[in-house]
Amino acid sequence: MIKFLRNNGWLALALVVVLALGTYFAIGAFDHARKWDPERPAVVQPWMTNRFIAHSWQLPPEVMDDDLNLPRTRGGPMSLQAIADERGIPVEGLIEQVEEAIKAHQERIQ
Amino acid sequence: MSDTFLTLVADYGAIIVALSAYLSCLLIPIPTALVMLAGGAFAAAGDLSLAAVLGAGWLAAVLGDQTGYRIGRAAGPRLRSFFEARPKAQGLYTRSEAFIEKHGGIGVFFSTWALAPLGPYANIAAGAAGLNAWRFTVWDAAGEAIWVGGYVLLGYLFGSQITEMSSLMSNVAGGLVCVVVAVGLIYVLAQRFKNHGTANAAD
Repeated sequence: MIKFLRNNGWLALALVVVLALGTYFAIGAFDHARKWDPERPAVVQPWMTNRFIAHSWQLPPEVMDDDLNLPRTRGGPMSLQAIADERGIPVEGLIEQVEEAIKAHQERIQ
Repeated sequence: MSDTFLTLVADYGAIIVALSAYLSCLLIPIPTALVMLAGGAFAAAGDLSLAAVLGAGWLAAVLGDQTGYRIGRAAGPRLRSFFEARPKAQGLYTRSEAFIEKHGGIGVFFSTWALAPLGPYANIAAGAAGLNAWRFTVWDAAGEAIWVGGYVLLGYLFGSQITEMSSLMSNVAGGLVCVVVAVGLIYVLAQRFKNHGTANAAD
């Protein structure tokens, strides 16, 4: 057995490394699956578009059009980052406005 | 980096989906699974057309794989003469070529979705070993349909959770590759152990 391992040391070592990596990925997958909660509310991010936000938080057109001035019917898709750049405001400020509008809408419908 | 790609998909749409799918087939490190998930999520929100995302992703992935295959094909003769000059490695190379010729189609099929991280290498190997171009294309196109369709559909269904979904799927994909490589290594070690036992008994 020792002679066999001496002759095939690299293969045996590769197997140990692959098994260790596999265990790492399996733990990662299990951990993500355990924490998975489809009902958990998402966080507003700079990459999200107006339609994506309306769809994800089920916001009616008036919230997007009137409260946020982010009409879903505008031209091509634009991220919050692009909209903030166009308006010359920091994206953090725009995200804050969106979060407040979502909160206000959720309070209204409860 | 993930946020940058998500913003690019939001602002430029299916063209980013296509570019990511193409370039990732050529070993350029791009979070393509996340880009596909984003394409599906933006389609669900009404920003992009689902057909355009699916079509662009699939076509670009197939073209990317074809490019890898052609690179392998062009490098094939040089690889062959390299191994022919080394008698010890020549047997392994010939056996690998025969294996790819016999099982290469199904191998390419699984390398596009179930073992996606190995996909770019499989394309080059298939080209270098001279796998029939039509066999490669048919199996590859079928596999890419599963990979692109699967991720875009997941994005469509779990729109607001795509970053979490991407982390979960990258762990699953990495784990699957490890399982396949481990099985291959165990097989080779078992064969060698058997030969080792036979040689010892003959002594």
